[in-house]
Amino acid sequence: FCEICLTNNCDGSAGKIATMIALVSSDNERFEVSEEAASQSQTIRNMIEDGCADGGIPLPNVTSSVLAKVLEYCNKHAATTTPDAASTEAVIGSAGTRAVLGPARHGPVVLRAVPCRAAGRRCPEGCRLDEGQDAGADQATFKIENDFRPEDVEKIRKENAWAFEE
Amino acid sequence: MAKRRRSVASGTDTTIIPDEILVSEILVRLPVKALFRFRSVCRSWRAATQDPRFVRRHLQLSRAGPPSVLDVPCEPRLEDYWSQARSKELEFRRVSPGGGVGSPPPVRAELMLAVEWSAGGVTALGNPVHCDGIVLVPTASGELFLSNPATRECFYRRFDFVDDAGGGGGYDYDVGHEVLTLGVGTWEPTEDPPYAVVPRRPICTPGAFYYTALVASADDPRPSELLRFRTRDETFDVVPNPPCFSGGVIGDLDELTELRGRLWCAHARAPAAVDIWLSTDHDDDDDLEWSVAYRVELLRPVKEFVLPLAVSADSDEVLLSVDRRVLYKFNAKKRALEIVVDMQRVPDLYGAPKPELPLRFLHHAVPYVESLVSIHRRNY
Repeated sequence: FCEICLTNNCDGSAGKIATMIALVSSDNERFEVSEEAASQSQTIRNMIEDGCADGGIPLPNVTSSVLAKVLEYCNKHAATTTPDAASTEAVIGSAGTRAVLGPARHGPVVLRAVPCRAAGRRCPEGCRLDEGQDAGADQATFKIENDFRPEDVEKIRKENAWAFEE
Repeated sequence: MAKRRRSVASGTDTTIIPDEILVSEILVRLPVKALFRFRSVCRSWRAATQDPRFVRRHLQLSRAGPPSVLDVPCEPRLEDYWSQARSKELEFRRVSPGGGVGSPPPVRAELMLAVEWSAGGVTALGNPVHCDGIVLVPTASGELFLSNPATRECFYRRFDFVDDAGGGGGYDYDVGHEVLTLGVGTWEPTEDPPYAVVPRRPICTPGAFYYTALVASADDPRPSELLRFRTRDETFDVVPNPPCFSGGVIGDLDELTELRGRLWCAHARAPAAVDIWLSTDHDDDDDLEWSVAYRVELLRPVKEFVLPLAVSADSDEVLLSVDRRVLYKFNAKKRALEIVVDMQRVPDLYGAPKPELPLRFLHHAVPYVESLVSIHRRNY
Protein backbone atom coordinates (compact mmCIF):
# COMPACT_ATOMS: atom_id res chain seq x y z
CA PHE A 1 0.00 0.00 0.00
CA CYS A 2 1.43 3.36 -1.04
CA GLU A 3 0.86 6.29 1.25
CA ILE A 4 1.41 8.85 -1.49
CA CYS A 5 -1.00 7.77 -4.15
CA LEU A 6 -3.16 5.78 -1.78
CA THR A 7 -3.35 2.66 -3.94
CA ASN A 8 -2.06 -0.87 -3.77
CA ASN A 9 -0.54 -0.87 -7.22
CA CYS A 10 1.66 2.16 -7.08
CA ASP A 11 4.35 2.30 -9.75
CA GLY A 12 6.36 4.81 -7.87
CA SER A 13 5.64 7.69 -10.17
CA ALA A 14 3.25 9.56 -7.91
CA GLY A 15 5.96 11.26 -5.90
CA LYS A 16 7.98 12.33 -8.90
CA ILE A 17 7.88 15.81 -10.28
CA ALA A 18 6.32 15.69 -13.69
CA THR A 19 8.72 16.87 -16.37
CA MET A 20 7.17 19.28 -18.79
CA ILE A 21 7.92 19.41 -22.49
CA ALA A 22 7.07 22.31 -24.74
CA LEU A 23 5.48 21.68 -28.11
CA VAL A 24 5.49 24.62 -30.47
CA SER A 25 2.77 24.91 -33.09
CA SER A 26 3.19 26.36 -36.58
CA ASP A 27 1.88 29.73 -35.39
CA ASN A 28 4.46 29.76 -32.62
CA GLU A 29 2.22 29.01 -29.68
CA ARG A 30 3.90 26.98 -26.96
CA PHE A 31 2.02 24.19 -25.27
CA GLU A 32 3.44 22.75 -22.09
CA VAL A 33 2.63 19.10 -21.64
CA SER A 34 3.82 16.47 -19.29
CA GLU A 35 6.60 14.32 -20.67
CA GLU A 36 4.40 11.32 -20.14
CA ALA A 37 1.63 12.72 -22.27
CA ALA A 38 4.01 13.84 -25.02
CA SER A 39 5.72 10.47 -25.01
CA GLN A 40 2.66 8.84 -26.43
CA SER A 41 4.16 9.89 -29.73
CA GLN A 42 7.06 7.65 -30.61
CA THR A 43 8.76 10.47 -32.44
CA ILE A 44 8.55 12.88 -29.55
CA ARG A 45 9.67 10.19 -27.19
CA ASN A 46 12.75 9.59 -29.35
CA MET A 47 13.52 13.27 -29.35
CA ILE A 48 13.21 13.47 -25.60
CA GLU A 49 15.47 10.46 -25.17
CA ASP A 50 18.00 11.91 -27.58
CA GLY A 51 18.02 15.13 -25.66
CA CYS A 52 16.62 17.19 -28.52
CA ALA A 53 13.59 18.47 -26.69
CA ASP A 54 15.23 21.09 -24.55
CA GLY A 55 14.20 24.19 -26.42
CA GLY A 56 10.77 22.89 -27.21
CA ILE A 57 9.74 20.63 -30.05
CA PRO A 58 8.59 22.44 -33.18
CA LEU A 59 5.62 21.02 -35.05
CA PRO A 60 5.73 23.21 -38.12
CA ASN A 61 2.74 21.73 -39.80
CA VAL A 62 0.32 21.62 -36.94
CA THR A 63 -1.57 24.77 -36.07
CA SER A 64 -2.32 25.72 -32.50
CA SER A 65 -6.02 24.91 -32.82
CA VAL A 66 -5.33 21.33 -33.92
CA LEU A 67 -2.55 20.87 -31.41
CA ALA A 68 -4.77 22.05 -28.57
CA LYS A 69 -7.31 19.34 -29.30
CA VAL A 70 -4.68 16.68 -29.70
CA LEU A 71 -3.12 17.53 -26.39
CA GLU A 72 -6.42 17.60 -24.58
CA TYR A 73 -6.88 14.00 -25.56
CA CYS A 74 -3.30 13.02 -24.78
CA ASN A 75 -3.47 14.54 -21.34
CA LYS A 76 -6.61 12.61 -20.60
CA HIS A 77 -5.10 9.35 -21.68
CA ALA A 78 -1.49 9.68 -20.54
CA ALA A 79 -2.13 8.08 -17.21
CA THR A 80 -4.09 5.20 -18.57
CA THR A 81 -1.81 3.98 -21.35
CA THR A 82 1.61 2.46 -21.18
CA PRO A 83 4.18 3.75 -23.67
CA ASP A 84 3.84 0.71 -25.88
CA ALA A 85 0.11 0.83 -26.17
CA ALA A 86 0.42 4.00 -28.16
CA SER A 87 -1.63 2.79 -31.07
CA THR A 88 -5.31 2.56 -30.57
CA GLU A 89 -7.10 2.15 -33.78
CA ALA A 90 -10.21 4.13 -34.17
CA VAL A 91 -12.54 4.97 -36.94
CA ILE A 92 -14.18 7.81 -38.66
CA GLY A 93 -17.66 7.29 -39.80
CA SER A 94 -19.67 4.16 -39.57
CA ALA A 95 -19.19 3.24 -43.19
CA GLY A 96 -16.42 0.88 -42.38
CA THR A 97 -13.63 3.26 -43.22
CA ARG A 98 -10.96 3.80 -40.67
CA ALA A 99 -9.07 6.99 -40.88
CA VAL A 100 -5.73 7.63 -39.36
CA LEU A 101 -4.43 11.06 -38.60
CA GLY A 102 -0.81 11.82 -38.15
CA PRO A 103 1.68 14.57 -37.56
CA ALA A 104 4.83 13.60 -39.38
CA ARG A 105 8.03 14.87 -37.95
CA HIS A 106 9.05 17.26 -40.64
CA GLY A 107 6.18 16.92 -42.96
CA PRO A 108 2.53 17.55 -43.24
CA VAL A 109 -0.16 15.95 -41.18
CA VAL A 110 -0.93 12.75 -42.93
CA LEU A 111 -4.20 10.98 -42.89
CA ARG A 112 -4.30 7.37 -43.94
CA ALA A 113 -7.36 5.30 -44.36
CA VAL A 114 -7.41 1.61 -43.87
CA PRO A 115 -10.53 -0.19 -44.92
CA CYS A 116 -12.32 -1.63 -41.97
CA ARG A 117 -12.23 -5.40 -42.28
CA ALA A 118 -15.55 -5.97 -40.69
CA ALA A 119 -17.55 -3.44 -42.61
CA GLY A 120 -20.92 -2.82 -41.15
CA ARG A 121 -19.67 -3.20 -37.64
CA ARG A 122 -20.73 -0.20 -35.67
CA CYS A 123 -17.45 1.46 -34.75
CA PRO A 124 -17.10 4.37 -32.41
CA GLU A 125 -15.79 7.45 -34.11
CA GLY A 126 -12.38 8.79 -33.55
CA CYS A 127 -9.02 8.54 -35.13
CA ARG A 128 -5.51 7.54 -34.48
CA LEU A 129 -2.58 9.80 -34.98
CA ASP A 130 0.32 8.04 -36.52
CA GLU A 131 3.46 9.14 -38.23
CA GLY A 132 3.86 8.09 -41.82
CA GLN A 133 5.65 4.79 -41.83
CA ASP A 134 6.56 4.78 -38.15
CA ALA A 135 4.21 3.64 -35.48
CA GLY A 136 4.37 6.61 -33.16
CA ALA A 137 1.01 7.79 -32.10
CA ASP A 138 -0.70 10.72 -30.57
CA GLN A 139 -4.39 10.48 -30.18
CA ALA A 140 -7.25 12.73 -30.88
CA THR A 141 -10.86 12.00 -31.30
CA PHE A 142 -13.62 13.62 -33.18
CA LYS A 143 -17.08 12.62 -34.17
CA ILE A 144 -18.32 12.43 -37.68
CA GLU A 145 -21.78 11.36 -38.54
CA ASN A 146 -22.22 9.73 -41.86
CA ASP A 147 -25.20 11.36 -43.51
CA PHE A 148 -25.17 9.25 -46.64
CA ARG A 149 -27.69 6.49 -47.15
CA PRO A 150 -26.04 3.07 -47.08
CA GLU A 151 -26.77 2.53 -50.75
CA ASP A 152 -25.09 5.85 -51.61
CA VAL A 153 -22.06 4.90 -49.57
CA GLU A 154 -21.88 1.66 -51.49
CA LYS A 155 -22.20 3.48 -54.82
CA ILE A 156 -19.45 5.95 -54.00
CA ARG A 157 -17.17 3.25 -52.76
CA LYS A 158 -17.71 1.25 -55.92
CA GLU A 159 -16.96 4.26 -58.11
CA ASN A 160 -13.72 4.74 -56.29
CA ALA A 161 -12.90 1.11 -55.70
CA TRP A 162 -9.37 1.59 -56.98
CA ALA A 163 -8.63 3.88 -54.06
CA PHE A 164 -9.26 1.06 -51.65
CA GLU A 165 -6.75 -1.28 -53.20
CA GLU A 166 -3.46 -1.31 -51.39
CA MET B 1 7.54 -1.07 -35.86
CA ALA B 2 6.04 -0.95 -32.42
CA LYS B 3 3.55 -3.66 -31.77
CA ARG B 4 0.02 -2.39 -32.02
CA ARG B 5 -2.57 -3.42 -29.56
CA ARG B 6 -6.05 -3.10 -30.84
CA SER B 7 -8.40 -1.39 -28.56
CA VAL B 8 -11.26 0.83 -29.32
CA ALA B 9 -11.36 4.44 -28.26
CA SER B 10 -14.19 5.09 -25.95
CA GLY B 11 -16.95 7.11 -27.51
CA THR B 12 -17.86 8.98 -24.38
CA ASP B 13 -14.89 11.15 -23.60
CA THR B 14 -14.15 12.88 -26.82
CA THR B 15 -12.70 16.19 -27.80
CA ILE B 16 -14.05 17.66 -30.94
CA ILE B 17 -11.97 18.97 -33.79
CA PRO B 18 -14.16 21.38 -35.70
CA ASP B 19 -15.04 20.22 -39.17
CA GLU B 20 -13.54 23.28 -40.87
CA ILE B 21 -10.16 22.64 -39.32
CA LEU B 22 -10.34 19.01 -40.18
CA VAL B 23 -10.95 19.84 -43.79
CA SER B 24 -8.87 22.96 -44.27
CA GLU B 25 -5.83 21.88 -42.28
CA ILE B 26 -5.77 18.13 -42.34
CA LEU B 27 -7.65 16.70 -45.31
CA VAL B 28 -6.03 19.20 -47.62
CA ARG B 29 -2.63 17.68 -46.88
CA LEU B 30 -3.58 14.14 -47.70
CA PRO B 31 -2.61 12.16 -50.77
CA VAL B 32 -5.24 12.05 -53.49
CA LYS B 33 -5.86 8.35 -53.02
CA ALA B 34 -6.77 8.85 -49.38
CA LEU B 35 -9.18 11.64 -50.29
CA PHE B 36 -10.97 9.36 -52.72
CA ARG B 37 -11.40 6.82 -49.96
CA PHE B 38 -12.98 9.46 -47.79
CA ARG B 39 -15.61 10.50 -50.25
CA SER B 40 -18.09 8.15 -48.64
CA VAL B 41 -17.48 9.33 -45.08
CA CYS B 42 -20.06 12.07 -45.16
CA ARG B 43 -21.55 14.61 -47.53
CA SER B 44 -19.54 17.56 -46.37
CA TRP B 45 -16.28 15.69 -46.88
CA ARG B 46 -17.25 14.73 -50.38
CA ALA B 47 -18.31 18.28 -51.18
CA ALA B 48 -15.19 19.76 -49.64
CA THR B 49 -12.82 17.66 -51.70
CA GLN B 50 -14.52 18.80 -54.88
CA ASP B 51 -14.55 22.48 -53.99
CA PRO B 52 -12.18 24.60 -56.11
CA ARG B 53 -10.66 26.30 -53.10
CA PHE B 54 -9.82 22.93 -51.61
CA VAL B 55 -8.36 21.73 -54.90
CA ARG B 56 -6.22 24.85 -55.22
CA ARG B 57 -4.92 24.67 -51.68
CA HIS B 58 -4.26 20.96 -52.03
CA LEU B 59 -2.22 21.65 -55.15
CA GLN B 60 -0.31 24.42 -53.44
CA LEU B 61 0.65 22.12 -50.58
CA SER B 62 1.43 19.31 -52.97
CA ARG B 63 3.85 21.56 -54.84
CA ALA B 64 5.64 22.42 -51.62
CA GLY B 65 6.12 18.77 -50.72
CA PRO B 66 8.95 16.44 -51.66
CA PRO B 67 9.51 16.23 -55.41
CA SER B 68 8.49 13.24 -57.42
CA VAL B 69 8.87 12.15 -60.97
CA LEU B 70 6.39 10.61 -63.33
CA ASP B 71 7.74 7.98 -65.67
CA VAL B 72 5.90 6.97 -68.83
CA PRO B 73 7.75 3.94 -70.22
CA CYS B 74 7.71 3.30 -73.96
CA GLU B 75 8.87 0.24 -75.88
CA PRO B 76 11.72 0.92 -78.29
CA ARG B 77 9.83 -1.09 -80.92
CA LEU B 78 7.33 1.75 -81.18
CA GLU B 79 10.09 4.16 -82.11
CA ASP B 80 11.64 1.76 -84.59
CA TYR B 81 8.32 1.60 -86.38
CA TRP B 82 7.37 5.19 -85.85
CA SER B 83 3.64 5.77 -86.08
CA GLN B 84 3.05 2.23 -87.27
CA ALA B 85 3.69 -0.05 -84.31
CA ARG B 86 1.27 0.23 -81.43
CA SER B 87 1.26 -0.74 -77.82
CA LYS B 88 -1.90 -1.79 -76.06
CA GLU B 89 -0.69 -0.42 -72.77
CA LEU B 90 0.19 2.96 -71.43
CA GLU B 91 1.48 3.24 -67.90
CA PHE B 92 2.15 6.07 -65.54
CA ARG B 93 4.56 5.27 -62.75
CA ARG B 94 5.57 7.59 -59.99
CA VAL B 95 9.23 7.39 -59.03
CA SER B 96 10.15 8.80 -55.66
CA PRO B 97 13.85 9.26 -55.08
CA GLY B 98 14.09 8.08 -51.52
CA GLY B 99 15.61 10.07 -48.74
CA GLY B 100 17.22 6.96 -47.34
CA VAL B 101 20.84 6.00 -47.11
CA GLY B 102 22.66 3.52 -49.21
CA SER B 103 24.59 3.81 -52.39
CA PRO B 104 22.71 4.42 -54.53
CA PRO B 105 19.91 5.63 -52.23
CA PRO B 106 16.72 3.61 -52.49
CA VAL B 107 14.10 4.57 -55.02
CA ARG B 108 10.45 3.66 -54.95
CA ALA B 109 8.40 3.22 -58.06
CA GLU B 110 4.68 2.94 -57.88
CA LEU B 111 2.29 2.13 -60.68
CA MET B 112 -0.29 4.91 -60.59
CA LEU B 113 -2.31 4.17 -63.64
CA ALA B 114 -2.26 1.51 -66.33
CA VAL B 115 -4.42 2.11 -69.36
CA GLU B 116 -5.19 -0.76 -71.69
CA TRP B 117 -6.76 -0.91 -75.06
CA SER B 118 -8.44 -4.03 -76.33
CA ALA B 119 -7.98 -2.85 -79.90
CA GLY B 120 -5.66 -0.24 -81.31
CA GLY B 121 -3.43 1.40 -78.80
CA VAL B 122 -0.79 4.09 -78.83
CA THR B 123 2.07 4.61 -81.22
CA ALA B 124 5.46 5.92 -80.15
CA LEU B 125 5.20 8.43 -77.34
CA GLY B 126 6.37 11.97 -77.75
CA ASN B 127 7.86 13.90 -74.87
CA PRO B 128 5.18 14.24 -72.21
CA VAL B 129 4.44 17.52 -70.49
CA HIS B 130 3.08 18.04 -67.02
CA CYS B 131 1.30 20.88 -65.35
CA ASP B 132 -0.39 20.89 -61.96
CA GLY B 133 -0.93 17.17 -61.76
CA ILE B 134 -2.11 16.71 -65.32
CA VAL B 135 0.07 14.92 -67.83
CA LEU B 136 -0.20 15.17 -71.58
CA VAL B 137 1.32 12.51 -73.78
CA PRO B 138 1.38 13.08 -77.52
CA THR B 139 1.98 10.19 -79.86
CA ALA B 140 3.67 9.72 -83.19
CA SER B 141 0.37 9.27 -85.00
CA GLY B 142 -1.01 12.55 -83.71
CA GLU B 143 -3.01 11.36 -80.74
CA LEU B 144 -3.28 13.12 -77.44
CA PHE B 145 -3.52 11.28 -74.21
CA LEU B 146 -4.32 13.41 -71.22
CA SER B 147 -4.52 12.14 -67.69
CA ASN B 148 -4.50 13.00 -64.04
CA PRO B 149 -2.82 9.80 -62.87
CA ALA B 150 -3.69 10.43 -59.24
CA THR B 151 -7.43 10.71 -59.79
CA ARG B 152 -7.30 8.31 -62.75
CA GLU B 153 -9.16 10.62 -65.11
CA CYS B 154 -8.25 10.12 -68.75
CA PHE B 155 -8.95 11.83 -72.02
CA TYR B 156 -7.93 10.56 -75.41
CA ARG B 157 -8.26 12.24 -78.75
CA ARG B 158 -7.01 11.71 -82.22
CA PHE B 159 -5.99 14.53 -84.49
CA ASP B 160 -5.17 14.82 -88.11
CA PHE B 161 -2.03 16.77 -88.33
CA VAL B 162 0.23 17.97 -90.98
CA ASP B 163 3.16 18.29 -88.63
CA ASP B 164 3.56 16.18 -85.54
CA ALA B 165 4.16 18.27 -82.51
CA GLY B 166 3.38 18.27 -78.84
CA GLY B 167 1.40 21.04 -77.26
CA GLY B 168 0.38 21.79 -73.75
CA GLY B 169 -3.20 22.31 -74.59
CA GLY B 170 -1.92 24.39 -77.48
CA TYR B 171 -0.97 22.91 -80.76
CA ASP B 172 0.86 24.03 -83.77
CA TYR B 173 -0.79 23.28 -87.04
CA ASP B 174 1.24 24.86 -89.74
CA VAL B 175 1.23 28.30 -88.24
CA GLY B 176 -2.10 28.09 -86.56
CA HIS B 177 -2.63 27.67 -82.85
CA GLU B 178 -5.60 26.30 -81.02
CA VAL B 179 -6.29 25.90 -77.38
CA LEU B 180 -8.36 23.25 -75.74
CA THR B 181 -9.66 24.36 -72.39
CA LEU B 182 -10.33 21.40 -70.21
CA GLY B 183 -13.88 21.32 -69.03
CA VAL B 184 -15.01 23.38 -71.98
CA GLY B 185 -14.34 20.72 -74.53
CA THR B 186 -13.76 22.39 -77.87
CA TRP B 187 -10.63 23.58 -79.57
CA GLU B 188 -10.71 27.31 -80.11
CA PRO B 189 -8.31 28.98 -82.44
CA THR B 190 -6.29 31.82 -81.08
CA GLU B 191 -4.24 34.40 -82.84
CA ASP B 192 -1.58 32.86 -85.01
CA PRO B 193 1.86 32.54 -83.55
CA PRO B 194 4.17 35.10 -85.13
CA TYR B 195 6.75 32.49 -85.96
CA ALA B 196 6.78 28.85 -86.92
CA VAL B 197 6.80 26.68 -83.87
CA VAL B 198 9.24 23.84 -83.90
CA PRO B 199 8.18 20.33 -82.88
CA ARG B 200 9.79 20.41 -79.48
CA ARG B 201 8.43 19.82 -76.02
CA PRO B 202 6.95 23.13 -74.85
CA ILE B 203 7.04 24.47 -71.32
CA CYS B 204 3.62 24.48 -69.71
CA THR B 205 2.76 26.62 -66.75
CA PRO B 206 -0.67 27.74 -65.62
CA GLY B 207 0.13 31.26 -66.82
CA ALA B 208 1.79 30.58 -70.15
CA PHE B 209 3.06 28.11 -72.68
CA TYR B 210 6.53 28.57 -74.07
CA TYR B 211 7.37 27.27 -77.51
CA THR B 212 10.58 27.23 -79.40
CA ALA B 213 10.02 28.95 -82.68
CA LEU B 214 12.06 29.69 -85.72
CA VAL B 215 12.40 33.34 -86.38
CA ALA B 216 12.66 32.66 -90.01
CA SER B 217 13.95 35.06 -92.50
CA ALA B 218 14.40 34.19 -96.12
CA ASP B 219 18.15 33.83 -95.97
CA ASP B 220 18.74 32.63 -92.43
CA PRO B 221 16.05 30.46 -90.90
CA ARG B 222 18.26 29.30 -88.05
CA PRO B 223 17.88 31.57 -85.07
CA SER B 224 15.28 30.33 -82.66
CA GLU B 225 13.31 32.30 -80.14
CA LEU B 226 11.15 31.48 -77.23
CA LEU B 227 7.56 32.27 -77.91
CA ARG B 228 5.35 32.86 -74.95
CA PHE B 229 1.62 32.37 -75.18
CA ARG B 230 -0.10 33.92 -72.19
CA THR B 231 -3.21 32.05 -71.26
CA ARG B 232 -4.72 35.05 -69.55
CA ASP B 233 -5.15 37.16 -72.64
CA GLU B 234 -4.27 34.56 -75.27
CA THR B 235 -1.55 36.59 -76.91
CA PHE B 236 1.90 35.73 -78.12
CA ASP B 237 5.07 37.56 -77.42
CA VAL B 238 8.75 36.77 -77.67
CA VAL B 239 10.97 36.25 -74.66
CA PRO B 240 14.74 35.94 -74.80
CA ASN B 241 16.47 32.61 -75.17
CA PRO B 242 19.29 31.78 -72.82
CA PRO B 243 22.41 33.41 -74.25
CA CYS B 244 24.26 30.09 -74.37
CA PHE B 245 22.74 28.99 -77.64
CA SER B 246 25.39 29.14 -80.31
CA GLY B 247 24.15 31.10 -83.23
CA GLY B 248 21.02 31.70 -81.23
CA VAL B 249 19.69 28.24 -82.03
CA ILE B 250 18.67 25.79 -79.38
CA GLY B 251 20.90 22.74 -79.48
CA ASP B 252 19.58 19.32 -80.37
CA LEU B 253 20.47 18.00 -76.95
CA ASP B 254 19.10 20.98 -75.06
CA GLU B 255 15.90 20.93 -73.05
CA LEU B 256 13.62 23.57 -71.63
CA THR B 257 11.42 23.10 -68.63
CA GLU B 258 9.88 24.89 -65.67
CA LEU B 259 10.56 24.22 -62.01
CA ARG B 260 9.51 26.23 -58.98
CA GLY B 261 8.28 29.15 -60.97
CA ARG B 262 11.35 29.62 -63.12
CA LEU B 263 12.23 28.53 -66.60
CA TRP B 264 15.13 26.13 -66.83
CA CYS B 265 17.35 25.32 -69.75
CA ALA B 266 19.75 22.43 -69.76
CA HIS B 267 22.31 23.24 -72.41
CA ALA B 268 24.91 20.75 -73.58
CA ARG B 269 27.96 22.96 -73.87
CA ALA B 270 30.11 19.96 -74.73
CA PRO B 271 29.13 16.30 -75.18
CA ALA B 272 29.51 15.50 -71.49
CA ALA B 273 29.13 18.96 -69.99
CA VAL B 274 25.75 20.46 -69.30
CA ASP B 275 25.16 24.01 -68.14
CA ILE B 276 21.85 24.67 -66.51
CA TRP B 277 20.47 28.14 -66.98
CA LEU B 278 17.66 29.59 -64.96
CA SER B 279 15.41 32.49 -65.74
CA THR B 280 14.73 35.17 -63.17
CA ASP B 281 11.81 34.61 -60.88
CA HIS B 282 9.00 36.13 -62.82
CA ASP B 283 5.33 36.33 -63.44
CA ASP B 284 4.40 35.09 -66.81
CA ASP B 285 3.80 38.72 -67.65
CA ASP B 286 7.27 40.11 -67.19
CA ASP B 287 10.47 40.15 -69.10
CA LEU B 288 12.95 37.57 -68.08
CA GLU B 289 16.69 37.17 -67.95
CA TRP B 290 18.80 34.08 -67.83
CA SER B 291 21.87 33.17 -65.83
CA VAL B 292 23.89 30.03 -65.30
CA ALA B 293 22.96 28.22 -62.12
CA TYR B 294 24.68 24.87 -62.37
CA ARG B 295 27.51 23.33 -64.35
CA VAL B 296 27.29 19.57 -64.51
CA GLU B 297 29.97 17.20 -65.72
CA LEU B 298 28.35 14.00 -66.88
CA LEU B 299 29.95 10.59 -66.80
CA ARG B 300 29.48 10.04 -70.48
CA PRO B 301 28.31 12.04 -73.48
CA VAL B 302 24.64 12.86 -73.78
CA LYS B 303 22.90 11.11 -76.64
CA GLU B 304 19.38 12.48 -76.49
CA PHE B 305 18.87 15.14 -73.87
CA VAL B 306 19.23 16.11 -70.24
CA LEU B 307 16.03 17.14 -68.48
CA PRO B 308 16.02 18.70 -64.99
CA LEU B 309 13.20 17.12 -63.02
CA ALA B 310 13.37 18.58 -59.56
CA VAL B 311 15.34 20.90 -57.36
CA SER B 312 15.65 20.82 -53.60
CA ALA B 313 14.21 23.66 -51.55
CA ASP B 314 17.67 25.04 -50.80
CA SER B 315 18.59 24.77 -54.50
CA ASP B 316 21.62 22.65 -53.71
CA GLU B 317 20.46 19.46 -55.35
CA VAL B 318 19.03 18.93 -58.79
CA LEU B 319 17.46 15.75 -60.07
CA LEU B 320 18.25 15.12 -63.74
CA SER B 321 16.93 12.65 -66.27
CA VAL B 322 19.50 11.73 -68.91
CA ASP B 323 18.74 10.06 -72.21
CA ARG B 324 15.40 8.72 -71.02
CA ARG B 325 17.24 6.19 -69.00
CA VAL B 326 19.10 7.33 -65.91
CA LEU B 327 18.16 9.59 -63.04
CA TYR B 328 21.02 11.50 -61.47
CA LYS B 329 21.25 13.76 -58.48
CA PHE B 330 23.63 16.67 -58.84
CA ASN B 331 24.84 18.36 -55.68
CA ALA B 332 25.99 21.86 -56.47
CA LYS B 333 27.87 22.40 -53.23
CA LYS B 334 29.91 19.24 -53.48
CA ARG B 335 29.96 19.42 -57.27
CA ALA B 336 29.11 15.76 -57.23
CA LEU B 337 26.96 13.73 -59.56
CA GLU B 338 25.37 10.66 -58.11
CA ILE B 339 23.32 8.06 -59.87
CA VAL B 340 19.85 7.65 -58.42
CA VAL B 341 18.60 4.88 -60.65
CA ASP B 342 19.32 3.43 -64.05
CA MET B 343 15.79 2.73 -65.07
CA GLN B 344 16.74 0.30 -67.78
CA ARG B 345 18.82 -1.84 -65.48
CA VAL B 346 16.25 -2.28 -62.82
CA PRO B 347 13.17 -4.02 -64.16
CA ASP B 348 12.38 -4.91 -60.56
CA LEU B 349 11.70 -1.26 -59.97
CA TYR B 350 8.49 -1.77 -61.79
CA GLY B 351 7.52 -5.04 -60.25
CA ALA B 352 7.05 -6.65 -63.61
CA PRO B 353 7.88 -10.30 -64.07
CA LYS B 354 11.24 -10.48 -65.76
CA PRO B 355 10.70 -10.73 -69.49
CA GLU B 356 12.71 -13.35 -71.30
CA LEU B 357 14.57 -10.92 -73.45
CA PRO B 358 15.78 -7.78 -71.79
CA LEU B 359 13.23 -5.21 -72.80
CA ARG B 360 14.92 -1.87 -72.73
CA PHE B 361 12.18 0.60 -72.25
CA LEU B 362 12.64 4.26 -72.91
CA HIS B 363 11.61 6.15 -69.82
CA HIS B 364 9.95 9.44 -70.41
CA ALA B 365 10.35 11.18 -67.10
CA VAL B 366 8.67 14.44 -66.18
CA PRO B 367 8.46 16.34 -62.91
CA TYR B 368 5.22 15.54 -61.19
CA VAL B 369 2.99 17.02 -58.55
CA GLU B 370 -0.12 15.25 -57.35
CA SER B 371 -3.38 17.13 -57.61
CA LEU B 372 -7.14 16.83 -57.67
CA VAL B 373 -7.47 19.00 -60.76
CA SER B 374 -10.11 17.50 -62.98
CA ILE B 375 -9.91 17.05 -66.73
CA HIS B 376 -13.62 16.77 -67.21
CA ARG B 377 -15.04 19.39 -64.87
CA ARG B 378 -13.93 22.83 -63.78
CA ASN B 379 -12.86 22.26 -60.20
CA TYR B 380 -9.88 24.52 -60.07
